[in-house]
Amino acid sequence: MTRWLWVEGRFAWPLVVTVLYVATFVLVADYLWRTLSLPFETFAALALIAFTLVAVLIILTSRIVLTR
Amino acid sequence: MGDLLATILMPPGVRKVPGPRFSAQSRWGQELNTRYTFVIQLGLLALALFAITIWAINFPYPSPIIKPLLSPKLRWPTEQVMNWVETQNIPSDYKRFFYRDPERTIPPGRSLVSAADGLVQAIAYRDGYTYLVIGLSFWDVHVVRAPIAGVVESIEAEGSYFPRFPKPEERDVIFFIRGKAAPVQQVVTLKTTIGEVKVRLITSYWASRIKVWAHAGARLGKGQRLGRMLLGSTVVVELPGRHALSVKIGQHITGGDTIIASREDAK
Repeated sequence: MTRWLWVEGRFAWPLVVTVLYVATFVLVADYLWRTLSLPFETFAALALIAFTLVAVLIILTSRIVLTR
Repeated sequence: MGDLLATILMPPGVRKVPGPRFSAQSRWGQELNTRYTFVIQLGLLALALFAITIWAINFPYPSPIIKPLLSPKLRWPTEQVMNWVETQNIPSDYKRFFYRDPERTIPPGRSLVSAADGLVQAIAYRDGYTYLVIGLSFWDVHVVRAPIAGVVESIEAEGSYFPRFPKPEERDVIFFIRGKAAPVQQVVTLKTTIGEVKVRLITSYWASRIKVWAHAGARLGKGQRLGRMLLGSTVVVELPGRHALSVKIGQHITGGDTIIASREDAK
């Protein structure tokens, strides 16, 4: 389990990327919630879909970049 | 399925399942694994945690990080401004915004302009006067201007209480009450070519201060600044006689800019 957090004297990149991604997502979602007038259920569903899609994109992109 | 997930998610350098090799062996992997990696990671994590903490502290109000991207109304929500007024602890960025005093292009010609920025709350004709009631919100410019050129005849204080949350039925009459029973206000009377025009600067609980810059005897041009109020209230323009106003109830008008009436004898 610790190898997901700490690897060879540094943090594991997936941990760093996850924390950065969650923080950015929270701020962007907060901004969109305040500017768009959507019902909460609709907004929550759209946010969940967007969160999942972007997460998959990040994982796939990182794999393409790191295996070059 | 477990192997596939592990292939995708496994951190560099700890791979135990078959799949494409990355991390230390790849060019990008080598660059990421420099001795500065830990410092960079620590910086990124601190940044993310700082952003989340700031967001959580300010919730349900907007985080300072997204504030610059929001419109003034969303940047400083009503409840937050009310809390600041209650505690007399108003932050400097809101103060700077509130005290703004933009230049206005006064429309030429024989017309009357709005005395303040805000929503038209009521238009009425009573006792020989046409009344235009303008409600100022926390986000409007609070500089009050002369609706028409004239000489300041008098500046009088009136009223004795600060309305806080007037009921809808009170709201219709509150601005027409005169004397001691009226809400606290300053009445600026202008002697103009169309007669005595009065501008009433009415306070509320939230706006308990009025500053009138003009003094009796001063000659004011159309749209010229005559005073300011602090933190949301009402301005009533009283025009002698019956006037067909060119603004509608619910319309947002701009002080010194929006034409409220046109008259042949108005300068």
